[in-house]
Amino acid sequence: MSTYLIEHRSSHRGQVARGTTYLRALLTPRDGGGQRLHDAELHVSPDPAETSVYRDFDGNRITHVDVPAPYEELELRARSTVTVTRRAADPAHLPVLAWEQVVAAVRQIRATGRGEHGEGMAAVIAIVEGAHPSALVPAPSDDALRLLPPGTPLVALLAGLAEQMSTAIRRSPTSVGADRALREGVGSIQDLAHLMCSLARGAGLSARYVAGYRYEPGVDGAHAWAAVWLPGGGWLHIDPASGAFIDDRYVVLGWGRDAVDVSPVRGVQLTAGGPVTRTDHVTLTPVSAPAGSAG
Amino acid sequence: MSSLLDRYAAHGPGHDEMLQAAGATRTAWQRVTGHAGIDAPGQLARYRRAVDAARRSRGLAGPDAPPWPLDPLPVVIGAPEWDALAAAAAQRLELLDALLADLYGPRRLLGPGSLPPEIVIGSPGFLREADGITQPGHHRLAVAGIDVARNADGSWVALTDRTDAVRGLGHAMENRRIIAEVLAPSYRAVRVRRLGPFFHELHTSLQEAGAPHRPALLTAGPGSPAAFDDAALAGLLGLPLVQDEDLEVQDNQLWLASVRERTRVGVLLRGVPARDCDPLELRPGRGVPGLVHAARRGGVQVANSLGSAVLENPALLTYLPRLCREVRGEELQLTSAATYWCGDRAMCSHVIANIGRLVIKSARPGHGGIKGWELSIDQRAELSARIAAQPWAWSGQEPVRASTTPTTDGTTLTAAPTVLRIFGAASQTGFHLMPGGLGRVLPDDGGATALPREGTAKDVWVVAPGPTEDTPPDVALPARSVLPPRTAANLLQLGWHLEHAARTLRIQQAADGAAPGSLPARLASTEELGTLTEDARQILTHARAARSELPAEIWPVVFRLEQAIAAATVPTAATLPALAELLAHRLPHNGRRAAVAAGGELARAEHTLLAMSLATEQGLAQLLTLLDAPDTPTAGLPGADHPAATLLWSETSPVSVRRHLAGLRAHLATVSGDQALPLLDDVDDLLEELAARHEVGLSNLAEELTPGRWRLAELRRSLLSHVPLRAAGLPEEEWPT
Repeated sequence: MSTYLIEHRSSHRGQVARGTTYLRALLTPRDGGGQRLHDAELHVSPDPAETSVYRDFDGNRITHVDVPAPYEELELRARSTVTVTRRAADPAHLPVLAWEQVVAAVRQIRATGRGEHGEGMAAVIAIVEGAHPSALVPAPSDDALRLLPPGTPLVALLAGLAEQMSTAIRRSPTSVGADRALREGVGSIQDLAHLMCSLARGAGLSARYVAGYRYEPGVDGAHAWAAVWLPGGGWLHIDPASGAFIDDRYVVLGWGRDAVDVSPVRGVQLTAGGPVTRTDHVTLTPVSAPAGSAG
Repeated sequence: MSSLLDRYAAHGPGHDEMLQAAGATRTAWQRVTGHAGIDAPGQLARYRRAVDAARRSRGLAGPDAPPWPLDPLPVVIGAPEWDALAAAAAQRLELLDALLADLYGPRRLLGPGSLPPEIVIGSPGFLREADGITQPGHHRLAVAGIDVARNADGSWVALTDRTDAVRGLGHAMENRRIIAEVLAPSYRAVRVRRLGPFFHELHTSLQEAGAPHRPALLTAGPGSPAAFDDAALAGLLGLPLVQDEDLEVQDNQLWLASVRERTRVGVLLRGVPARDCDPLELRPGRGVPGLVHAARRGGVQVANSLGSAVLENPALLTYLPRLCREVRGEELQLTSAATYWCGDRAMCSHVIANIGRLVIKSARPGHGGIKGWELSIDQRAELSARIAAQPWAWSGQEPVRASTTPTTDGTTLTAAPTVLRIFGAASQTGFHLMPGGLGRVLPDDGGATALPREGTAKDVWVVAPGPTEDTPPDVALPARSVLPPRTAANLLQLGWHLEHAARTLRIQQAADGAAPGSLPARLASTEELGTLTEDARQILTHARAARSELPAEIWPVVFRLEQAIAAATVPTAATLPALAELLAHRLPHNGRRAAVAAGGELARAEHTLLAMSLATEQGLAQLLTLLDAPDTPTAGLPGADHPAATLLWSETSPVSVRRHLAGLRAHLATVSGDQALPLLDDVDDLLEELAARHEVGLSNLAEELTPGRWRLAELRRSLLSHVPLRAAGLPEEEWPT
């Protein structure tokens, strides 16, 4: 179990003289699923004209902000305290199902809307959505699908794929696309997560893109990985960048079909102003759990 | 029966609207064709030409020319039969509306036994961003269309539901106006239900839904394929026609910019696909940032509601009968053409096995369908592979052998399969159907798909039995008062170029035969004057952009102007004054007329200064003559009796720059309230100073006038070019890196 103080700063600089800037921010981690959100606050400067919070289709907590000009710097500062109790997925405690069996289960849910384990409608919709292609997750090539050894249990398959990706793909600071990352052996964290989704969906599994944070001393905490659905086992969060299932060093910010759905800050300025540059910075500081929150 | 009709009947179309009509409807067909006198030699060709001419003179020309011809002969449907179809269609629309509320709300209908979730989740028309948005009014669909055809067994079937941005309402009314004019004797001979009340009800319904705030119609703008349809609909509904840049979200409310004061929009009827409505949450590049969130917070209603295109997924047709029983506890009355969803394994096998005789449709909104029988063996194999790769995205539909209607090719009548797009508008009491619609006949290929790009349009007449009765005139809708700055700029431009062209014409006439070096000759040859063709082009552009504000009478004149440009001839002297006259007298007083007049005054002031700067001292007196004011008294003016002083600052001469500027000021005040015009004050000061000086008219007049001309040009730029705030996406930094 670990508790972190997470500070996520997103700053936009530029001479904006008039008009309004509209922002859609995903800067508050999800509550539940092996993590507990104690408190979260979001400061926006200059003062916004309008702030409201809603949950998107996937249940992520979105803050909508309108900021009036003029400004030279628009800054969003999110602070949250999260206790993570999750342990890495343990194959010994999970259903042993060959991935082809999982594909069959997903196919049945897609055609009929009914699962074997009494999945509710929200769960069914999430599984169906995770099985669909999306803009940043292309269908994999037939060659890529040969990376999936027939008959392998899903848990072992994911562990094996993540292990291969973490060692075989060199990390680049900017994304090149999931398919190129596989072909050329170079890709960003985002590419790896998209690649994992791409292989899973290409095989007929259901997969999510997960944006979040990862604690590693001295390193920016921004991170992303994938989650794949296992009947009776839920969503297995697998990090292809480190080659392992996630544990209490990870904090889930939000999930969606791909990185576009869970971009921390999206914005449009209604203005006649000039160009704007953006920088993001994330720090995770281990702290002791707030009183009364243990367990 | 006439010989043409005899031949048509003998040719033997087995399944024909006219030949199978009975009773009163048969009588109506006979009256329509009889009064049209189609047997007279060349009559059908004459009708076709008359239709084309009527379309052109109504502005359906140039970039706004529809891609399909309009057939002179309408589709005639008897009232009892129509009423049954309308009731069935209304039930279908109620069902679709209820479905929409569920899909973006509780989603109780998704799941085993009702609707497979993948049909919704996998539908490109499903907008996750619209999830949870509620609509305070009674319906989510304000107005929707259904493409229907009559099957071989005589029953009507729905081919496609049109629920996103509805297309064709404006064209349906245009077609009616044109055919009612071309076939006037036929139109009078039968009792045809009028379309006007439908638009009036839709207007009332939108007005009530957004009260106390006003409704507006969002269009993609003059360059878009739907520009004419949108402008016509805005005119019919009496709504301001607005573009992205006219709108702004503030405090989660939607505001429409106006030259006077901005107005709040209660209902935004969208003429654009939902995906193009908000660059923040939907597709970047188009739309009003913050609109989706404003709808989410209840600050504005978007109609049809965002994400309504999900209902256009043909896969839904498979499940509608079941959903109708579940939602409404009754049978679906207007059934769909038999449709198989490939996401279901058994149905997928059926579709692939029968691919050569089915219409294959994608879940993508607006996909018209692929006719399996037109594909080669290789193409079928390729399509089968695409279906197998993404089965949920495809459906197969049984082709419908649509009933035929007599349609002219100019010389004779052919039996052409006919599809109707019928429209329903929501009201408190349910959906009301437009009595008529957009008929389309297709090349006879054995099966109707959705309305294709090819084919011929037809008017649809719903006829009541009994004698013709006088129908009350359409109720006039309240005049629009909101004038978006973009539209004001268009009207100013119209006025400016009309006046500029008129002056140019006059100078060219005067220059004809004038001595070289004389003022008219020098003016006619200066490049600063610009060309008539350029003026004419600008007039066309701005007239189209402001279409919904302009009286219908201008379009025949605009068309003549367009022909003159196309033929590279100089627009005739008659065209421009006719247009100017129409705009000066037929535009409403609510700021529109003043905007055109202001443009004219500005052009006059600029033009006179240009002429003066080219004139010699003798030329100045000539200029007064040229400007049609030879009798202007010049005595007793400040700055002596010099013509330059008269031209600049006479209070009495109708052609003085001073009078033009005063006129400009007064008209702008009418347009915009008390907009401060520091630039105009500057020009005033400069010219007054110049006029008061005794040496005015010396050889360096051109130089002295330069600052005034320069400022006036600057004023023109600031008035005529409306510069809106533009939406620009903030940089998308990759995260995490």
